[in-house]
Amino acid sequence: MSIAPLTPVLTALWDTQRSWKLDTYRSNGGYFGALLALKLAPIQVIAEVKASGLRGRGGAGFPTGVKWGFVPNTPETAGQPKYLVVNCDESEPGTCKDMPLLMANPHLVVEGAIIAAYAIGAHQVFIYIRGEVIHAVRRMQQAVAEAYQAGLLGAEPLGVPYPLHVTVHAGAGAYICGEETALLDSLEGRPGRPRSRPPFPAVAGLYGQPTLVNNAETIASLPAILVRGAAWHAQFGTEQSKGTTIYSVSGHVRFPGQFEAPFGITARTLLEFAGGIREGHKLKFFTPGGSSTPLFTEDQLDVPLSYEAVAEAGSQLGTKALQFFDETTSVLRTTRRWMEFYAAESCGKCSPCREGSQWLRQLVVRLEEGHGQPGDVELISDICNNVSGKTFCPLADGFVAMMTSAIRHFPSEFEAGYRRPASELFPYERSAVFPIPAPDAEPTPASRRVTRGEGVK
Amino acid sequence: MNAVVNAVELVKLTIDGRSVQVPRGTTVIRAAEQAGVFIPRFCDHPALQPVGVCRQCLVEIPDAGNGKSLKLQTSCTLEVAEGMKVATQATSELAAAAQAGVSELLLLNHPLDCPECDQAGECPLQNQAMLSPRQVSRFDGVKRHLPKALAATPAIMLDRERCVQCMRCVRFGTEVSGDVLFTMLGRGAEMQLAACPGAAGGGYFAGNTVQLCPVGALTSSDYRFQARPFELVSTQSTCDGCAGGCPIRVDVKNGVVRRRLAAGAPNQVGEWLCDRGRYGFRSAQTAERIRTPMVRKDGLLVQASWPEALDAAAKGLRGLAGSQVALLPGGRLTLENAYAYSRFARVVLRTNNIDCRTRASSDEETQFLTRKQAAQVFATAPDYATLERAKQVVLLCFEPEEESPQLFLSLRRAVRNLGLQVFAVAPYLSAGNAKLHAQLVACKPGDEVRALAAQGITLNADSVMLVGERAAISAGTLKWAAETAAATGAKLAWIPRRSGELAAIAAGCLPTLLPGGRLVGDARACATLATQWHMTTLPADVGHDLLGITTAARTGDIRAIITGALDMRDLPDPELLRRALGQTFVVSLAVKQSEVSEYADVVFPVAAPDEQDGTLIDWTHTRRPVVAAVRGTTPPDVAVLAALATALGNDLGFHTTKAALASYNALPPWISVPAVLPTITATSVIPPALGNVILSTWRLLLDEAYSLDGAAVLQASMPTAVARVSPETAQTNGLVDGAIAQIGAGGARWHGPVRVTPGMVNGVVWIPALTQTAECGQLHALSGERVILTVAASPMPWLSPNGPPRFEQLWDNVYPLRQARGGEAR
Repeated sequence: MSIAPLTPVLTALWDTQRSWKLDTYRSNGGYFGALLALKLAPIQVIAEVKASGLRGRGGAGFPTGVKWGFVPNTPETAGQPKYLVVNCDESEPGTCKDMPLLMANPHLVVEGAIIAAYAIGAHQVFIYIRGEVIHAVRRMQQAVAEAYQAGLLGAEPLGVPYPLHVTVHAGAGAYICGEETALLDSLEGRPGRPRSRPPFPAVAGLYGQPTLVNNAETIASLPAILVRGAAWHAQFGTEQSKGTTIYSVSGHVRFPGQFEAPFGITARTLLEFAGGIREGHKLKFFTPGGSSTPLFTEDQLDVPLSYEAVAEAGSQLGTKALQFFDETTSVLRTTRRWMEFYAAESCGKCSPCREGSQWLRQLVVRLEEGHGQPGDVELISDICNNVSGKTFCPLADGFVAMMTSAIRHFPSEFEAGYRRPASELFPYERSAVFPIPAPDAEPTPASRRVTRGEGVK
Repeated sequence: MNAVVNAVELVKLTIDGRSVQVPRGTTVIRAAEQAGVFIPRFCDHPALQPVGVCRQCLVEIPDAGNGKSLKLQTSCTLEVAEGMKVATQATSELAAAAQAGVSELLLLNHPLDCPECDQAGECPLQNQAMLSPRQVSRFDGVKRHLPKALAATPAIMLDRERCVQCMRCVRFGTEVSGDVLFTMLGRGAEMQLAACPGAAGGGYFAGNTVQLCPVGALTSSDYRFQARPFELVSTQSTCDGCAGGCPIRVDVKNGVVRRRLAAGAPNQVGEWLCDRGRYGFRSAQTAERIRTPMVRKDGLLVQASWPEALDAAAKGLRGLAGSQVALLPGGRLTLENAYAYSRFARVVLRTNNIDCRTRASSDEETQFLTRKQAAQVFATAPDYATLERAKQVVLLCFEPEEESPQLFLSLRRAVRNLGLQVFAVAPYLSAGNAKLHAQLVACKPGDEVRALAAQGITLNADSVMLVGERAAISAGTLKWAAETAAATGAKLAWIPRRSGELAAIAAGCLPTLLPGGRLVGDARACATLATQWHMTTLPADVGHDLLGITTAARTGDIRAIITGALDMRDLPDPELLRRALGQTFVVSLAVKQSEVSEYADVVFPVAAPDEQDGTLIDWTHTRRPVVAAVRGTTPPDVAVLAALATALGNDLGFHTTKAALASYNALPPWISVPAVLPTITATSVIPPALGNVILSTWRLLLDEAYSLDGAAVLQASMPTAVARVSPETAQTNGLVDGAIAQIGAGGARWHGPVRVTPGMVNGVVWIPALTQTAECGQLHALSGERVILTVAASPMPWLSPNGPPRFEQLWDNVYPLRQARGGEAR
């Protein structure tokens, strides 16, 4: 099978010298899209984005132009404050696309923010970045400062009298704050917990005002659409999933990293880009869209990675984070680690997620340690059933999907947890990517990265 | 409010096959209640905004009204739609399974301590667990363990293990009372309820959170371990804490009142109850309770039999002319008891020397009240519902949160939901009025009318004036209010602090008024009454009011006084009454021993509020029934006065409260013609005094009132006293925030820490009236009187600048029992 070409649009400047600087960005045509947008009427900008078929890159894949249309722009709401919030609270295990984007080309997001804010009539933008990724926060802050200095933001961005201000906000570190309403609560200074909908943020969001929340990658996709046109964007991808996107590939592959390609590319192709599964091993399972999407196995390697095709195959494209695991991996251990993540990140607001995640964590931990009780696997399935679809927000649906698909694909591994610890069946050092040092060896930075887990005993 | 509903627009839907019509905007769970279908719930409450966090109320929607089905929606957040079909747990297996699943999860970390939990037996979670098809938990893991009950406030114990994180208590604070007491800390399974540091007593409404809690996470320190629900005998009654007329449920075990609960329907008056009403019933259970009559012999009060005491009282009263006797029934009587006093005065003692106002009053107030009652203008007086239609409310000499808490909540609801604008005419914006988002019309006490006019606030038919009892001493305020109401059509309500004053005025316990609004001296009115009372004449001269009675007693003109419950400290000059009582023959009808007992020659025990039937009249002039929760051994005032009448060879006409009410109701209605009504003349009662500032003071809801004796939890939540001054006044007088101020008036001194209060009117110092008197002292000066404000020469050590030492509240394992008082006086 021939390898489809990569289509670097968002990632086009990633390998240039000092790609994050304004000079670099502008000398490559940066901020031309924003200038074009500011010359158009907002409604024309929305029409262009609608025509491009751009879908939200944050996971749900909701058509961006349609979402913009929800923000009221009637004459009665003209004086009402509106906000644009750029969601960079990327924290799904396996997902790593927004952070490299912010590091390599923060101005793409700033420019996109100008376009989106202008389109919906917002004069204030908040860029919400996961606070732990302090270097990304700093880079973004510097980019915004540069933009202000260059007159790209402020009272007259690019010389157009449309006052626009951008605030970079560092979150306090909660996965749930990636959910847009929880993000708004967090931005307002409260604990991040999802709000009930309706009202939707487009009607009553930040401080009760109309608010558009878009993922950073979605926002970054805008300049190219403005510069090259909706038709150009729509030529990429599939009928329902148009454009190019960043896939983050990680796990037991030879060259993990970000690959920008059109929708509809297969996991097999991406795997080839990444140099295939590491030497001497073969694929066991992979996630198509991050840890909260149902697992795929080798059988689904040829599923086109578009929202519709992945959904048809029983999973979700989510954040397009492909984590590949080879045959040395214990699925029980993987699900335990993920389950511990979700149990820690459940916000606690609604009971099924709060209590269910805790119970599932306890069960999968004891299975992994070989202390499972007969019936535990059925119990897990039943709890998943009790939690799924009954919670306030989709966080629980994520871990339920992951858990049930893992049991469906590898029931015997789970049942083995009644008798033997997973570490006996799948010695953990075998799945380590970096060599495990001998017990008496001097610790090196690289070895610390491995031994931080519990794999080495 | 749950949803702003348009009563006109109805939506028809089907719930479990039953058709029901509800207003648009109603949630499915409310509609189901109307259809008679119960959907289990924990977080949902009709008076709180829907949040949909417990997920217990999941239902299936086979048809959302648009032909499409929705699977599993929380019925508490889903609004009804025309043609919607709802299948609850009764008809949908999916919904039943989902609810069972949620129940199991909710019980996952719940301790199995029902046998020692107060909530057991009245616990929705317990009921839900009992209904669950699975009676044995499948959970064999490790439960969440946290230290058991901790004192969140002096009145509320928090057991976080039992909490189901429904956030009702959190939402109550933000949505209803405005006092932030609880919050959720942490996340995931670690998320816990915690009392906010610095929330102190949690405000005057914190007790409602205990009643709101659907599990045993919040329990009342006052009621803990005292009773099981099946041991309780409950009575629906009316709270006698203020003139709010809140419906309450009184729970009794073994003849002792154990607790009071709010008994109003959701979104109706009395849905919530203030802490004074909730916990303030222990007074009758204290050791000072009088259970037998007492007669003074050789200077000492000794127990006596009823005949002996009646003889002694009759002996002291016999032969005195009407002008030589007086009655001070007090302001906390039921209509029946007040009527008995009123009739006893006119029929037996033949006097009009009767005044129910045992507090600072004035001729202007007497004229105002007389006119109001005689002209029956209260028929058009505002009520709770009026506030929801009003556009603006003006508070004159009135602090709703301190003086009428239920009214405060109604105001707050109208402010939050209906855009009501409140103007507070006061020296500073109190915390309570700030929660009403009130606009302050800053003024010195006594200057209210001028300040209001200076602000250019015009009143119209959409305005409501709420006037408190302190208006009596603000010369011209009542006159202005009455005239403005007549001229502009603005509604006017006079709201006394005490529960019985309106009933007493209706019953004629004023020197100018007879029962039913008849004027003393109005021959035609008196004639109808005399016929009814089987008398030929009634005393025709206007009697003395409180001040007149005390003065006449000192000069020897009055030789005998019959008193009901009165607190000397409420009077503008207690010394005057002390001397009056010291010089006269005193018959005291009292529940408890008090300072009055020291002067009494004969003491009759009477029934406590929880022990007798009766009627209260609330500030809206609505009669509210009081029902005896306990059958005590002491008779009501009616029976004592009837027996005394008999001992005096007379007949009161009735012996029981029931007969007293029948007699009152049998009075033919009477409306005085305008010609005979008294005119209202502005009169000042403020004595001239020297001083550098003007005093402003009022009673707080929780203070050292006799009626709150024995309520330990309230005493622990009582605010600490502070003296408030404006920044400029502080500077002028050399005071800084936290310094100890001394306020002198007459011979009395008050000491307390200064709180510099921005926005306050200059030249005024405010102190709470009856708070921490042991530490601070008490002034007997009126609001509006000049006092001397200085820096205290020797600061009292226990009044450190930052208040008494207090433990910081911690939400983790160390959670000390809090001894701190309930924040500072607001």
